[in-house]
Amino acid sequence: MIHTMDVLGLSEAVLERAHRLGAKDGEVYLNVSTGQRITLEVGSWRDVHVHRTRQQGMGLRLSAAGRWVHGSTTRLSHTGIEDIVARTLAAAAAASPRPGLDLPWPSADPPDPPIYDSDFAFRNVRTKIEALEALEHAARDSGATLEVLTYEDHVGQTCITNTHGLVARYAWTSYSVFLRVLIQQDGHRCTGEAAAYSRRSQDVLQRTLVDGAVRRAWAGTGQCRLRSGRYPVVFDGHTGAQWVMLLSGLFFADEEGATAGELHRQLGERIASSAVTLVDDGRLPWGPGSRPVDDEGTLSQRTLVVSAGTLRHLLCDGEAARRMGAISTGNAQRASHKTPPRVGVTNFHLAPGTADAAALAAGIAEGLLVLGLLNPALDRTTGRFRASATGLWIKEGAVDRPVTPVILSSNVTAMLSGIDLVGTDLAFHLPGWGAPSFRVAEMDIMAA
Amino acid sequence: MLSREGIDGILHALSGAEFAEVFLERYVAYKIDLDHEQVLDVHIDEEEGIGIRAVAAGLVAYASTDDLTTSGLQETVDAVASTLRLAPASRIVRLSRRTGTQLGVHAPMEVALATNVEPLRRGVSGAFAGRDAVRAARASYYYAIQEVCVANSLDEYAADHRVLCSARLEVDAARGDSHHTAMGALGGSGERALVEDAALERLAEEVADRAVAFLEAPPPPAGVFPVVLAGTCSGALFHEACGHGLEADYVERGSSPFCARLGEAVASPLITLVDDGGYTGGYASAGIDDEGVPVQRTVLIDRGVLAAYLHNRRTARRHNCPPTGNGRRQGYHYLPLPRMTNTVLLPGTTPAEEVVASVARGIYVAQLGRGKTSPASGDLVFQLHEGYLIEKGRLTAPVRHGLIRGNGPRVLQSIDLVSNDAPAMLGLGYCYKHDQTVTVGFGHPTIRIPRLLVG
Repeated sequence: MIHTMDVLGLSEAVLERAHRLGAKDGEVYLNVSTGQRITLEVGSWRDVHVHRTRQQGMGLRLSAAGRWVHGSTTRLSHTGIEDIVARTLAAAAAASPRPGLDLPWPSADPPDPPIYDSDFAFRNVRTKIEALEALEHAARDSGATLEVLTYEDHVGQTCITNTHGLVARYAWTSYSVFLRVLIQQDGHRCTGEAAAYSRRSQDVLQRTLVDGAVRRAWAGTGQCRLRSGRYPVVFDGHTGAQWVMLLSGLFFADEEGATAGELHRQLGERIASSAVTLVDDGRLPWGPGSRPVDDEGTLSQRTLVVSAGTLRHLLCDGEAARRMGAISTGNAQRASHKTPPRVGVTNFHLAPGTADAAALAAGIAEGLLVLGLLNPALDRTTGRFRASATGLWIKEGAVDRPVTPVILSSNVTAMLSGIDLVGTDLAFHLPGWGAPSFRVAEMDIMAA
Repeated sequence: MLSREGIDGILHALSGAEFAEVFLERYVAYKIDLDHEQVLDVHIDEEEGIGIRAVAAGLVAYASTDDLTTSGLQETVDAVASTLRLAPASRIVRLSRRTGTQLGVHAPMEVALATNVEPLRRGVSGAFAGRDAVRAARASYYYAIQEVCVANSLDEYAADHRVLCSARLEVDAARGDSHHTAMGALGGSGERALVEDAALERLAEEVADRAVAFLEAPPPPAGVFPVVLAGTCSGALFHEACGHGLEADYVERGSSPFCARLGEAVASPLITLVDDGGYTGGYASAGIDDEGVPVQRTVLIDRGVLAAYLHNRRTARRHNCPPTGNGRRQGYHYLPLPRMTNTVLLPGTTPAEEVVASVARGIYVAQLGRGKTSPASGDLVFQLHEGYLIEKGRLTAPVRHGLIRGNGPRVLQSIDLVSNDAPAMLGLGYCYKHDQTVTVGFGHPTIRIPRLLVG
């Protein structure tokens, strides 16, 4: 199934219809894709789920008398479009005027990061199942049982047009693999998960994913009890990405961030150790969030958010940038066609350092290598970070036994200042967030 | 939408499968977001589409589309049929011809946007009144109509009309370097779903009072304490502590601590837990599940004894038992999974005030935040958003922003007091599992857990 829809013609027809019904300005976001999801489920039985999906959706931002309203639909027929345009405009009366919101104007040629690799997506189902079975065998070889393994690919095109004459259109692919393994040891059952996201297939079908999941499952079986206290903590790339995801929200120049975050008042100031460089890069080759333009048509860019510990930029969409008197960083993001653009990330990550991942434990007399975080939270107003964690105890520089789950807590500013070593092993374990392994000099660990 | 004859045609095209099913959905919703008194966003959302499933010899073929044109449907049916060819032919049987009634999905669906902005604005405005520390107030209102139709190769035809509504408020207070955000929500499903104006204004007052009251509260002391969870704490404790572990897919994979334990004592005798897909006004209530099975009230734990698991059609078939009406999906682009609906702990016998009075030193949880569980190990973690110290049987200093950690099966065994009052309204939540988010409801009376790690 390949989409052959004339997305540009359709977008123009929608804007014309909106104009006829009284819209002053408008933006059409169209997304069409075909995809395949294959899931292996293994238990007392074994199922293979093969799911073909064809998705189409339109998000519509319209203004009438300075009031903006958003509509969305999957009905792209003539009737469907007539309905949603009329219904959306009728709702505009309920909105308050929003003078700070304007749509982007056309700009120079967009960047062209590599984001399209349809070769594997168009291969037959049996080939894909065989690739997944290779991962299933790898799990078995590691002494674990594969519980669930999901592979997903999508081939699509996105088109953004607005009444300022902006037209942006690009084709893309996305691939992801998620797996969970189960191990049983000394009467304890534990699962470990791993995931990978990329614009190309070769980055996600990796044996190392299985190794990571098995290690995380094993870490969950810990019976070694700790004494509560302050210890050095090493995050692996998987848990590091979870922390980076929570952290990224502090750098959004949206309404909530502007009122809540202390960091917004510290542009140009040192907020982290010199080992910390945080980047949002919409042009990263094959990055899961890479694209030529953001979801309102502004060119994607590489934004240095924190450079060697100093806060340089906040992430903006067009509205936030106007409010700050700045230029959009190309960070308008839609969760799907159903939601209007908000400030979001493309490929937000902690830049890799120079330390070998295995060397991060060196020099630690006693500390924790965190391999699993359950329910991590970072309070945007107080900066307090806390999470339940599983992992391996580090003793005299060597990784030792799994520990019983603990509560980790710290303040985000203390964590940023305390990162003293960063590994080279950057990977995107979450769709839009990545991290290499890194070490925090000291955190509170509370044990039962 | 598709006619009955069109659905018949699709099922006949898949007559080589052991089981075939068509899921049709139409959804219209609006959402209003206010910041201060400004209506920041008004969203209108419409969706319609189809998911077609066929099962043969351990292979589940599924295809879904938003494109309900003849060619779009044909493409979708072809995708399912071509996948089915991967299955060994020996298990394939022909379907019988079905009979049934006309679908109810042709009715026009109109969502009236309108009158809900002013009460919301009044609520937000009321949050500021007389409270100097309040810096910001946000509110959102969500109203949705979903119509689903399920037809399958078992001669079953079912349709459902679902209405959901919720109002959520967040109030930020600040004084010096101290900040606090308090949250609250109202809503439900069905005829009782619409949020009353007066209730919304009361909620705004209550949330604003909490934002100020907890402004300078410290984190809870770290350590192992008796913990009392208020019946009003909006917590999904049982959803996380055992609900996921009782979903039959986890049980089948061996990744639940409740595997093969039907009939065993898995909880304190004070615990009777039900999953009720028909709970009046519950946020997850419906007439049928997303496989067309009528919803039901399933007693999961009966006075401490494990009584049932939650099934969709596929897990029920493997367990040789009837489905429990828990086959749920996010929408037509997703396969149904065994999922909880409204998970409710039934009242005990102790007056709520005696539960608090029984604790010499401990933590009282007034508002729980997000929770998460690892079904295999049973480990669970909750955010303590707002609470109080309990000293000599009385609530004393407020505390906030802690974490509560325990093990679900051990928590269930250890609960030693359950109050005699049912929750006035179920909590409204969203549950995420295997890439799918569905609405859930949850509630419990006030309970005491003798030992939990607080940090």
